[in-house]
Amino acid sequence: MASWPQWLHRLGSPREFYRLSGRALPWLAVAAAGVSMVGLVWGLAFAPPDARQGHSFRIAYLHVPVSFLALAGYYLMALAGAVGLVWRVKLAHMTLRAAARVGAAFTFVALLTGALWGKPTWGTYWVWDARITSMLILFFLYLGVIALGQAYRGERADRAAAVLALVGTVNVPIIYKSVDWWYTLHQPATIKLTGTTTMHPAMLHPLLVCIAGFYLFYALLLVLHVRAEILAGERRTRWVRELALGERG
Amino acid sequence: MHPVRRQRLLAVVLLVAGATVAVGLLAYALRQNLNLFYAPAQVVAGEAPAGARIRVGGLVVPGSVERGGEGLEVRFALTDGAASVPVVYRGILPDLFAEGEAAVAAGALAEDGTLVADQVLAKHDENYTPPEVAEALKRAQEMGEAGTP
Amino acid sequence: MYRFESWGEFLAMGGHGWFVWGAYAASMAVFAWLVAAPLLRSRAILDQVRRAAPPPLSPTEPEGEA
Repeated sequence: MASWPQWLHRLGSPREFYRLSGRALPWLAVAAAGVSMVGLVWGLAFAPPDARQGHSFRIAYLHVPVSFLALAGYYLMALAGAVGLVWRVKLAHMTLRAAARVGAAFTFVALLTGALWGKPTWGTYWVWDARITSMLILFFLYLGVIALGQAYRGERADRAAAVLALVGTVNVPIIYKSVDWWYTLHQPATIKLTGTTTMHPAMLHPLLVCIAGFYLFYALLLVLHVRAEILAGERRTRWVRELALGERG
Repeated sequence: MHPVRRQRLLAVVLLVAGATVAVGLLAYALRQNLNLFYAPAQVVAGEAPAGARIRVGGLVVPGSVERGGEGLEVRFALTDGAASVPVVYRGILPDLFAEGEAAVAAGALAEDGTLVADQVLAKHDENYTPPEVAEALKRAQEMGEAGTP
Repeated sequence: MYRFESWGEFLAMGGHGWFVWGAYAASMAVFAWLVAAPLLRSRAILDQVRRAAPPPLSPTEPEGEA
């Protein structure tokens, strides 16, 4: 019990994180690629089409997991910001920057796949309903966090980005509940934490595999981006110089 | 916890709480404006502005869809169970548009209370079923007593 | 349980091929960029550090111990 702060301390050191994550990386990459490929191929070729939507519903196997992670990743980013603000941990701010990039890209993909799904099902690529608009706000929040992190140098940038990330957490439950609170064109949640899921098991199982696969893929991307941030932040340290010279020396 | 860190943690909590309250009040004040469409009962009660472009959403009343003689004109009614609004639309309907299913029509209300729509969108629900299963469910429903859609 | 009769049918996606494959292709492009960007950035940083570092005393030089 007494040893956990030390263990946490070691993982909180950028150098130690770089070393340990380097070892985990190949395993994570294989797991992420394997699970998401199984899920996507299952969903694209083997799952039944939807009775009303036909095959366009197969976009869900991409849209749903990516949207989930765009939201969950925002909480992760804000949490990293809070840890960075309170405990002044360098690695936390690096995680925030990494999560902002990955999250912005995931939100973009969620909006894009949503538009391409909306056209054949609803009859329009875009509509300003509460769900889609709040998702667009999430995209701008991510971009804002990235921009603030680059606007200044050093600690001020870190703190400004963390504050914006924390303020923006308000938007996440709004996105999630928007389909229940307001009339939207977007349908309500299919997979519910409480209550019955309204999707046939033959369609649901590949979706759950896709969700698991994209969680792994997100973890992989986050680690890759954090590692790049570590090198950028620590480029003047001795261990990075040794690493650079050792690589091809 | 170190007093300085406790103070910073408190600042973080206050920041998030403050933002939540501010946005919550804003959303409450704008709650009607954040709806994409009016329900038919609201339109019939006169809550929707006449003449302005509005959207009305509801279920397409079964048996109400009439395809007019001239071109692509379609007439149907949208209902929320409490009231229904007649809609006239000229154009191509989305694939998922069907009687008994949800749709959203955008346009302006005419004098007689008809919505002259320039856009009709299909709204689908959160249920996903394979065609075979949907077919079986439909057959089972037809064999039983007439169920409400 | 394979849902399509032929490759052509699989690509057509019941007439919605453009939307389904467009969504998948665009997403894969973004994901590829998400993987490649940090790797390229890391390599660029390490290259830069290597160039800026003083020339190493290589142990393979002949002056080392025999």
